Amino acid sequence: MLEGEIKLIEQAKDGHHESFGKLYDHYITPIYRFVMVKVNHRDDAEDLTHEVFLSAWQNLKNYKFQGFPFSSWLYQIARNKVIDHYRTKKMHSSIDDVDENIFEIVGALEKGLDTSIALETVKEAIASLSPDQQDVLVMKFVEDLNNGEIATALKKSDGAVRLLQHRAINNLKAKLISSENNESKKELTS
Amino acid sequence: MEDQLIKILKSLKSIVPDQEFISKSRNLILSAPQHTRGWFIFHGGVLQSIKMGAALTLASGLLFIVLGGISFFNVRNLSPVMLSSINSSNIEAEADSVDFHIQLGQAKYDVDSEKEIGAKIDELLNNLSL
Repeated sequence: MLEGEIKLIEQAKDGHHESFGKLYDHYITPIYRFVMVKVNHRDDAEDLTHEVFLSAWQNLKNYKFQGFPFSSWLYQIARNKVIDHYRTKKMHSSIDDVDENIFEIVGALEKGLDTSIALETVKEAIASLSPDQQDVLVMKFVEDLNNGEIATALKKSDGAVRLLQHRAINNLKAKLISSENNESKKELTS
Repeated sequence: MEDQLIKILKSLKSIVPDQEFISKSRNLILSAPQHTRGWFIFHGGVLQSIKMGAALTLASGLLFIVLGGISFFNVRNLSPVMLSSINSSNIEAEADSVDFHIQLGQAKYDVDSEKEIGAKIDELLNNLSL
């Protein structure tokens, strides 16, 4: 949570541009990252992120502080924007549609990790999860939000968030194990 | 494996937006006007009422068209149950097609036997009155 966030929000509600600018600067990256993982296209991610903050700025008078960071509200708006995006474009997240840039960056970073899991496989496994499970994984492990913040953003209980996280990890593991087995079979037959 | 997965997920932190996009988007947002309280009242109250009113009007219009259409085309003619029993021209056609096989001999017998039965009844009545 940003220092002095509540005060900044109150000032922004009164139309102070610079206060909202500070909130924007603090939250633009996590929101962009969240949207990017969901839509996998840089242009779409930029458009949707812009719409999220524009909507937040225009509707700020509706925001009420409920003990959770401003980001929970922004994530709610971002989720709705992503849902609308898929609804209007009538398209589904597909591995073939993935913007390579996103994983090139991650791939460069992955080289430093001691891991035998192929990034391509992880990419496929993440895309195959339900939207809620993707959200929980990103919020928990990428954005380091706590369960209360995630629950507020997803409008679910803490227990439901824990369950989603557990299932998401298990599904990812199952996908990776099955793909590893498939690879082994292919190697044996060739 | 779980640790490796989490490491890979954490590596997604390296995704950052383009600086040019940030500055352009920031300027556009901050130059946009905020919705006023009046806008929220209009959008939340008046506009919703207008939407609801329009929906009800459309639904009523549709109902009127459907009911009007049914009465215009005369629903009895459309009903397969009513079709043969009510239509007068069909009844006449059915009546015309009935084949009557009453022969004249049979009709004469009926008339004669009726007279005979009448005479017998008169006779019985006379005997009873004695």
